[in-house]
Amino acid sequence: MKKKHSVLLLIIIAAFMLIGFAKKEVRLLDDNKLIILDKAIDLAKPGGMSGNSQGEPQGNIANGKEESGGGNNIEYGNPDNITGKIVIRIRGKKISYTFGDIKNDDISDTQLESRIRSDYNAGVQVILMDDFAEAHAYKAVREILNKLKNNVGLTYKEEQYTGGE
Amino acid sequence: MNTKRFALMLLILPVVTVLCGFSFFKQNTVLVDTSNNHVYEQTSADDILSEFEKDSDAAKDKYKGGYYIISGKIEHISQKGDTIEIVGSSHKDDHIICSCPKNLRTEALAYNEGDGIAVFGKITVDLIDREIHLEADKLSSVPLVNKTGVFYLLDGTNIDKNSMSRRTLNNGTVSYYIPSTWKEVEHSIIGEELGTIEGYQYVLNKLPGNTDTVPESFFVCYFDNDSKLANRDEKEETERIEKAIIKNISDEGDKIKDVTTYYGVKYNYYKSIYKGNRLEYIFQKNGSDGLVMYLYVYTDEKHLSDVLFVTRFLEIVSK
Repeated sequence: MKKKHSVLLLIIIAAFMLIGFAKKEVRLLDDNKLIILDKAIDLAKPGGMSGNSQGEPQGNIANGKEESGGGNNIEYGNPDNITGKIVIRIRGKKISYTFGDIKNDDISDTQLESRIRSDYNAGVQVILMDDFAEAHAYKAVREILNKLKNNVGLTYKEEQYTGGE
Repeated sequence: MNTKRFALMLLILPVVTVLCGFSFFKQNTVLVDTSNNHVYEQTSADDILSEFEKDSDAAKDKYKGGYYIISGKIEHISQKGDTIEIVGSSHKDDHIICSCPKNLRTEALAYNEGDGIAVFGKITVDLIDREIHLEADKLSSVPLVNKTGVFYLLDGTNIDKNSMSRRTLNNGTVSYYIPSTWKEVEHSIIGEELGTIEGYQYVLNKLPGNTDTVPESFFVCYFDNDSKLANRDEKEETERIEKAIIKNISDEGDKIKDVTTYYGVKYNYYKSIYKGNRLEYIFQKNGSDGLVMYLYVYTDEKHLSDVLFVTRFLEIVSK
C-alpha cells in the first residue's frame, strides 16, 4: 500500500509538471521586433528624434493652435485678397484635390505636389482637410505642404472635415 | 500512519503547482482598466424619457446596464436622501429614480426640489413597473454642456467624441479615436521603422503644451495572425500568442488578469518592467483573425484619462 501511494503521488506530481512545462511556445514568423522598445522610448526622451518630416514647424504648432469646436485648426500665415481656394481632403489613404471647379478624387503625392505648384499663387488659400485620414497619409501630405511652404512661400490651414460620411 | 503521510504529501501539491508556472498571488491591479473606470455618456432626462415613451423595449435595450450622466430637475428627494427622483424640462409626468448609496446621501439632502442636477450612474429598468432607475455613483450640480457625444470619467475629466480623430487598422475593420492633439505626437510604427507591427505610437509626454520630460507613450496596434504567426494552425492559442508577442517586445511579462467589461469587450492584461519603464499590455481578441494590442509605457501615468477614453472607444467591425 505504501508503495502504491508513493507511485500515485509521483504520477500526480509528474502530471502537474508536464502541464506546466510541456506547452510549446507559439513561434512568430520571424525574429524582427514588433516594437523596438529602445527606439520607442528614446523617441519620448528630450531631444529624441521627432520622427516627423524634415522642417515641420513644431514651434508654430504649439503657438498657433486655436480650437474651434472640432479639432485643431492651425493657421499658417494670413493671406489677403484671396483669389482662389485649393482644398486637399484626405479620407483614409485617399487624397482628393479641388481647385475652383476642378476636382480630382484620387491623386498621388507626386501628382499633388505638381498640381499645387501649377495652381498656387500668393492669392490662393490652401486648406488641408482631415476626413478620418490615415495618419501616415496625412503626414505625407503635410510634409509636401511644408516643403512648398519653404520653397514657394505657400501658406495653408488645417481643418477637420465636418460634412458627415 | 501511511495514510497521514500520504495526505501530508498531497498538501505539497499547491507548491508544485506554483512551481509549474501557475501563480495565484500576483497583484491584479492594472491602470488601463476600463471595466472599473467607467466612461459615462452625457445625456438628459428629457432624452431618455422621450425614447422610453416612443419605444420602451428599444430604449431598454439601448440604455439598460449602461453608464450615463443624466441631467434633469429634482422632483423629489426622500427623507433619508437615499432616493432622488428627477424629471426633464419637457417630460415631467415620468421620472427617473436615482438610488444613492450611503456615501452620497448627505450630499443628496443638500439639494432642494426644483434644483438642476447631473447624476453619474448605471441605468437599470424595473421589469415589473418599468420604472427607470439609476444607481448613482456621483452627484453634480455643475451645469453640463448641452451636447451629445460628450463622455466623462468619474473624476470629471471629459472628452467630446465628435472632436476626436478616427484612425483605422486591419483594412478598416478596427477603428479607434484619438484626441485631436494626439495627431501631433503620432508615429507610424512601420512607417518610422519603430517596429514591424501595424499601428501607432503616441508620445504623450510631448503633447503640445506639455513640458514633461519623463517618457510616456501609448501604442495602438494590430497583430494579424495570418501574416505574423509561423504556424497558422495556432490561431486559437490566444494566450500563447500574447506571450510570444510580449517575449518579442520586452522579453518578459506577467499575466495579471482577464476581464469581460460591462460593454461586452474582453481584455487580457499583462505587466512588465523594461529599463525602468512600466509596461502594461492589453490584448483584445478579434476572433481568429488577430489581436488588438494596446501598450502603455510609463513611469508616471499623467495621461491615463485620455488613454482610458481611447481604449474604451475602439470598435471592431466583424468581417
